[in-house]
Order: sequence, then structure tokens, then C-alpha cells
Amino acid sequence: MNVLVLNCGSSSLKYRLLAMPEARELAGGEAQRVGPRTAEPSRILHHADGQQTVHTVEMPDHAIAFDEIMRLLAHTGAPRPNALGHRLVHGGTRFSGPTIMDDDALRDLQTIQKLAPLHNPPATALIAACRERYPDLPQVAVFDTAFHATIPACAATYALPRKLTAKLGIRKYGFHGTSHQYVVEEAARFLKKPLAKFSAVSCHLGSGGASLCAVVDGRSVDNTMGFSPLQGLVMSTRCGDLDSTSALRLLIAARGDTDALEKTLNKSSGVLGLSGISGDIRDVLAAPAPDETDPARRHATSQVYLWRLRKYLGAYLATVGDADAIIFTDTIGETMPGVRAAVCADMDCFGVRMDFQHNAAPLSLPCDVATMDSDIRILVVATNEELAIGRQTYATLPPP
Amino acid sequence: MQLLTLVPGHEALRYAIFTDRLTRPNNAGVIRDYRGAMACHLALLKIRKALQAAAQTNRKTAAALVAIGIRVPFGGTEFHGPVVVDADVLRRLETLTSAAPLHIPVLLELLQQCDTQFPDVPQVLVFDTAFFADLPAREYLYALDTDLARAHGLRRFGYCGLLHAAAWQHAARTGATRILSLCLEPQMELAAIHGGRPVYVTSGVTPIEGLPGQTTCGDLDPGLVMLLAEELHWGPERLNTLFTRESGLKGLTGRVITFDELFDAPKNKYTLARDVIRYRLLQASGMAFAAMGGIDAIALSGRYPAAGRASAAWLKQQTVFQRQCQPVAVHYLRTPVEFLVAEQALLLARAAACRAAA
Repeated sequence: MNVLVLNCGSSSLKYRLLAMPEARELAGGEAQRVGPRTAEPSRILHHADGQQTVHTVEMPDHAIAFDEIMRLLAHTGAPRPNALGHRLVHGGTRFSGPTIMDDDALRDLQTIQKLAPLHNPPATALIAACRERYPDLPQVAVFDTAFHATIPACAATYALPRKLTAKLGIRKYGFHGTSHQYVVEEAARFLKKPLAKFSAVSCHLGSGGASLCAVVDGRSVDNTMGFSPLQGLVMSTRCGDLDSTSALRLLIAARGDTDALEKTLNKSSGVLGLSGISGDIRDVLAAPAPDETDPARRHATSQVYLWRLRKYLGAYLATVGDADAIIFTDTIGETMPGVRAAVCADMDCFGVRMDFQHNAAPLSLPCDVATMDSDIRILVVATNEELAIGRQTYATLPPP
Repeated sequence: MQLLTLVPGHEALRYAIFTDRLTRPNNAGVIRDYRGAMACHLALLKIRKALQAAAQTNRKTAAALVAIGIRVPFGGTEFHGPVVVDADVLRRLETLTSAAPLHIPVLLELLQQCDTQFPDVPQVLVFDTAFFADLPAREYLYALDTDLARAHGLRRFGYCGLLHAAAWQHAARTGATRILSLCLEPQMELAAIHGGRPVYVTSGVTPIEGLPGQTTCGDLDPGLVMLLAEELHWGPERLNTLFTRESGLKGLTGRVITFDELFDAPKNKYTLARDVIRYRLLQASGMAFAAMGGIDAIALSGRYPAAGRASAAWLKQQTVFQRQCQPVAVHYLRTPVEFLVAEQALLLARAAACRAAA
């Protein structure tokens, strides 16, 4: 069975065609600058058989981008997909696992749009468009929140009036679930432990978003993101944790304009807001230029980023109790040994001891960088959300 | 010798009168209505009568009022320790009005009425944020645009500094240097104090952030502020009331209960609220461990000792505490906050008197 995995961003559409169950990649790529015309033309970066090609084509919305991708796949001789696997950010309480998108499921999906107003609408519209064009092609939606459906009430409940939280569906949903689930399964396999007996703290540290996930017996029991992907760690342009009364102060300053506040907290905070130089923590952690105007600000930014991460690692190790492993993944987690070292140093009280030399050396993933006598393994694992979506899509559909 | 302490709170003004010794106040009381010039005037008249009555029952000693100690909940970055009020202090207090609009005007009124009723008696301000004014930058900074945060005074503070500082001193006498300090007040606060310096605290810009309180919400996803404003069409003031007066234990249980009542209740009562509080305490403790590389002792303080003991006992069963090579000692500071205010007030008033004499 060939599964075409579609990962819909606000202005991009990533795709990967996988032959399942062996998970062999047949083709893949990314449609960029989807939507209203921008300074540069929209284009598709396509790769197949080790060849990369660029196709410039107008793509005013994701449905048209999808058409172009299908045309490109057919044109380059790729086999026709037998199923589509979609990445959805938010499944609310309705979707606690990968779901075949029939009329009912699609209607339900349309009712929870407002839970993730930036992310869900384009993906939902894409599913509807795909159904129109290929009514016989089965589609499966895989939700970032689904892995976290097992978070218990003590962690998922905000201390707000219960009538209000029930009415508005306010609870911790948690995000990055597809990635956390994938690396946790990979880590358990690497350590040869049955998943049902594997406990860990998974650190998904992307160059954009980041979250930690507490895992007990293979199931998520907490995630640093909350009702929305805004809570928790310091991210590229998102603020993470913030006193709710200070959000109120900023709302007053914005004269009650919630869109403006949303933009401030989502787009101009985090590493970018603190450093003033870049939203990428890798730039901030790099050595300052000799003529830099404010090296203290750069230093403070990296300190705040690492400190928050370290505190949450402590909180989640306390939550898990007897963790088998700490897992680092995604761009920052996989490629920045300094970040891993800073948060794992002086954590002996948790039974965490890192082999710093090994950690700093070039690694072939997956890899264990804990010392021999560490109670808790420290793993670096490459995440692969598209592959995870492909696997889940394959497992959800009836056998061909 | 007499010494007066004032603790102005959200709903009431607490006062205590100490005579000769600081170990126990001889008279103490609560005045419900004290906000506004007239109410404040009447409140101070009442306190003055109480002082005279206290003096008459202790005729052996001279009844001079030597100092008024006042607990101030917020001193911003302006005040790093207690101060004797003078013109310069008043000016600096006024600069804090926008950051603490509920506290500072009430305090200024109180100081003025003290001037009228007790002229020439030194007034000593003891700030609850002072202990946390030197938090490391990595702890006090939010991940916001630097200029925006500065313009709105958005940085982290701790709010039970007097109790934390005293509890730390109490615990440190046993040689402990890494102390997890848990203050059981209506807004519970946990701090990590490493060698006398706080390095982590649960509170934020206000005491609303962090652990949920009896009526305060604690940590929330900031996205919820936008959602609530849009879905309910509530303005900032209404939302502020929601976060500060209707949430926490009250929101979770639907009743007004204290932390003592929460932890004393039978197992099947308030289950969710207790689970939530314990869970948040465990996570905050994990953060304290990470902040100091482990802990040597737990220091408890505040007005809910039963809740403190129950929390500490529960925490000690958790793996992260069991891993400690040395068993974690638990100390409980019984001293009420009035005593701490009185102690500092006397110290500063005497020092000021010495300076004046010299």
C-alpha cells in the first residue's frame, strides 16, 4: 500500500509518498508559499530517486497545491497513492487516535476549528477538497493531541471554575504527540524494553516549537504545552509560561485587541523577543560577534531558554518517578550537544549522569550518551513525523 | 516600650501590639473596613485606643510607642530590604503605583494617617518581595520582547519573602544549604533557596502565577486569556476577578475552603482538587531539585501547618525524594508574620535612633 502523507502548514504543504509497511520512501517534497501571492513565486521542491527538482507554479490555496503535487507525482512516474495520511494539530476531546475521515468525522473536525484557529482550518479544508476530488481514496487524520489523551485529570485540569472549563472545553490537550510517540517507541526498541513497561521524559526541541512529554508505561501522562501550543518552554517566537495577569496587562495595553495580543505572544516573543537578534536558539548560542552591541542580552536569552528547560526536565523526572530514559529529539535536541549538556549537568540527584565527551562527539542516531553507571539512559533519537503518520495511517486502514 | 505592626490586606487590616517583649503580642485585632481616608482614620483611632488600653494593663513599663512596622506586599525592584519611611521613600513608593495599583495608594493613605495619629514615631516598611529582588535573571525574565516586558514591569517576583527568609534561616541552623521552602498561605508559594539566595520561585509578576491558591488560578496557558476574552466577551477586569477570586480551590470544589480543610477532608471529598494541588506541588518540587541539584531540607511556614505537614509527608513518599542519599529533614516555622515584621521594625528603628543620637 502506498500512503501519501500530507503535513499542512499555514503557508506550506509537505508531502511524502511511502510504500507501506516497509516504509520505503518513493518521493517527497514541500510546496512553499501557498496562499496569496508573495514577493517570491510559490513553488514545489520535489525529490524522488535522489534527484531534487524545483517547480514554480501558482498555488492560491492548499487544495490547488495538492492538485499540483498529484500531477507532479504522476508526471514523475511515482505510483498512485492508495491512501492519504493527514497531520492535524488539534483533535480536541473527540479524536483520541488516528481516524478515518468519513462524512461524520469530517463534520466533527469542522466543529473544533476554533481550538487551533491557526493550524486546523487549512488541514480540514484540504481533507474536504481531497474527498471531493478522490471520493474513493481513503483518508486518515493523525492528531498531534491524540497521544496525550491519556494525560490524567490531575495534570490536565486548570484550577478554573469547573462549569466554565466544561462549557468551553478548557483542559490541557498537549501537542507534538506524533513525534513524542514515535521517539518513545524508537527508544524502547533501542533499549530492548517492552513499550508497556517503558517510562521516559521525551524532549522534542524543534527550532520553532518545543515541548517535553512525561511518559509512564508507554503512555503520555503530561506535556508542557497546554490548552494551546503557547504554554511551557521558551520557543522560537512563542513566550511559553506567562503569568495570566500579565497577559491581562498586555491585553489592556492592546486596548482589548485579542488578535494583537495573540500575535505578540505567538510571533514576537520567545527567543526572538528576548534576544532581539534571532528566533533561532542556535544563533543565540553561537559566539557573539566582536562588535556586538548587547552581548549581555544574548547571554540572558540562552540562560532563560536553558533554565526553563532544565526546570521542566526536573519537574517531569519527578512526575515519571522511575524513568528509564531521557530522550532528546528534533533539530535542537538532535544537533545541539551544548543544550543537552547544559540541562543534564548536575542532575545526579535524579540519577542522571551524562558522558559529556561522548555527547559532544558526532553521533549516529539513535545513540545513548549517558555514562555506564547512570540510572537513567540519555538517548538522542531522530524524529520522523511523516513516517509516524504513514505508519499510523497504514495501521488504521483495513488490510488491502 | 510598645511596638505596633500593621498588615494591610485585601479585605482587612490586621494589627498587633507588642509590649516589652517580641515573643507574643499583647493585643491583636482585625479591622475589616479600612480603605479610604475616613475608614482609615477610624481604623487608626481604634488602634490608638487599643495601644492605650495595652499600656494601662502594663503600668510597670513606660508606654512609649517606639516604632510602627508595616508589611508591604509589593516593593518591586525598588526595595531590597526594610526601610524607615522618609520623604525619599514616599517618592519611591509612588513610582510603584502603576505596578501595584491596589496596594500602594492604600499604603500611602495608611502612612499619612499614622503620621497624624502617631507623629514622630518611626514607620518601618517591610517588603514581602524584597527577599526575591535579587533573583537570578534566568529566573526572573519572561520570554517576552525585552522592551515590552520592561515597559510593563513584567518580571517574576516572590511574594511570601518574610516567611521564606525566616523559614530558610530556621532550617539553615541545622547546616542545610539547599532548601525547598513551602509557604502555606492562601496563595501557596514554593521557593528553592540555595545558600541563602532564592534561585527559583513559583510566583510570577503577581502571586497569581504558580501553584493554585484558595481562590487564585495558578499557572494557565496564556492562550486561555485570549480564548476567555473572545468566547465570554469579558473585559480584563472581569477576567482578573475570575483568575483571582473565583478560581483555585474555589473553582475546583465549588466551595470556599482553606488548604487545611483540603488536606483534612476525608479521602473521597475534594479528590480532584487535592490531586491537582499535590501534582503541582510534585512538579514544583522537581523544579526545585533541578534548580539546586537536589535538596537538603524542606522548610514549611505559613498559616496552614496541617496542610504543610500533609504535603511534606506526601512529597517524601515520591521517588525523587526517596533517591536522596540523606533523608530530607522537615522544619516548620511557627513564627507568625507579625513577629517577623516587629523584629525588623525594632531593629531598624533602633538603628535610626542611634544614628540620630550620633
